Amino acid sequence: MNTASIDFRFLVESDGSPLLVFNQRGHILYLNDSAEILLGYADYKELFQIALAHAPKDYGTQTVMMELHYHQLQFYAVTIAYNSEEWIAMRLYYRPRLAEEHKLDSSRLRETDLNLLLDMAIGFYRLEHQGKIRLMSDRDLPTLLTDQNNASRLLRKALESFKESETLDITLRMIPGEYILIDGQRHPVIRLSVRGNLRQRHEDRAMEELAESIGAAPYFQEDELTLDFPFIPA
Amino acid sequence: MSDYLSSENPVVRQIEESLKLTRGLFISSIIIGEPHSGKRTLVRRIFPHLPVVDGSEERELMQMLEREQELIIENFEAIPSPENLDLEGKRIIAIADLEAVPEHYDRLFAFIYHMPPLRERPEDLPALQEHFLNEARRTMQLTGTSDLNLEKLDLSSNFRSFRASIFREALLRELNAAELEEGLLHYFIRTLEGNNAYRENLGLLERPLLKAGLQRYKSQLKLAEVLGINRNTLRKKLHEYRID
Repeated sequence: MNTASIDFRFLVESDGSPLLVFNQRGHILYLNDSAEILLGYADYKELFQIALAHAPKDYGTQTVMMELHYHQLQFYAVTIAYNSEEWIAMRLYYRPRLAEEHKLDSSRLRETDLNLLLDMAIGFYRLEHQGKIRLMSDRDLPTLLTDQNNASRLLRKALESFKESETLDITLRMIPGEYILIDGQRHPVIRLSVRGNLRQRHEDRAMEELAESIGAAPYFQEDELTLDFPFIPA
Repeated sequence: MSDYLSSENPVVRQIEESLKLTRGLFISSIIIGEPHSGKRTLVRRIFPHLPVVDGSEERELMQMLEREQELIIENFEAIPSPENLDLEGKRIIAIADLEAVPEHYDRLFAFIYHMPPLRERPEDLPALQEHFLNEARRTMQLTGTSDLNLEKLDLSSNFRSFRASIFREALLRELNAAELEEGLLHYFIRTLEGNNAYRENLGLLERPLLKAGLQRYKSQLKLAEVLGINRNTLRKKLHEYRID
């Protein structure tokens, strides 16, 4: 069999590693599916600057080991390639995640409106703290199965980590195209993001344990906390 | 409190709203606070049909936790080793007479609410005073209509002392001469002793008499006339009792 019948464009588009091609002005000429997700978190101008800074001196490719973190997306290397003055390509390599597959105690899962748990956590936060809350939530999120007690504890701690913050921007929505693997099954992601101007970190370990118990994935940053909940349909 | 009164305090209202939301959830919550601050009344109002168990009854508590999916646990602070309890997957509303949160409560409960003491809820006092005053009038068949001085009422033990002080104040305002005499009789039987008891106890009559007189007539001249005593005698008595 020759290779003429192979649809290489399809392979590139569905590749798990983000691939972007820029023109000489930094405009995007092409990006695959994975790169579309990346651009939800990263600025393409910043990526173009990285590509220029690490491009090979002559036509060809160069792979550079470097840590790049965009929210929960973590990369350990990039390859820069070009064989024309018209374009330059950048491919990013995901850092493999350890223990990314979760196991859950199904006896503790109950049909849950995540918005309701979030409302309770916000009400509780307001009892104790002064931070001004701006909430953007998809009120039509379907109910999911989760351990309500641990999910509530996790939400409480997530907000409490911003107890010194003057403002909190909270968003809750379904993320298309991302999944959490639980017991061999892929589940879509419902993402809670909390951003403030001051975040305390001493409960991060406790939050990791709670998140693990409900199959959620936490991502901690200086001023932002992201919790990815698995959407296990009720 | 026999009847529930909605609180005007924003913290209590938020606790109430949050607890109402838990009616549809299987999570564990606890309300802590000073004794008699209204925790039980609030919980029983929101969950009137939930079974209740006392934390000091360990055996019964274990049996009920085994059997029930939803439960109110009163006196949670009396449980010897609460850290060993498994409250997961149940709707638990616990109540504890505590002012600080023990560390292990964080593992047990999704939400830990702090009920503010009554002295931090001034917006609730007028309605509560009226409520208890009506109860006092009904219970003791009092007919007086005068309002009580809020500053004199006792908030040291929250609802318990507040209610008791209202009952006492309401009763004291309606005693007639015979009841006062009866009260003094019991007091003297209980306390009379020493070698100067006549002079010492005379103040029980004279002090309130002079205070009330000044409050009513504002002037020593007029009061001396009403009491039928000399002005100098009145002044001497006021000085003796340190009444301005």
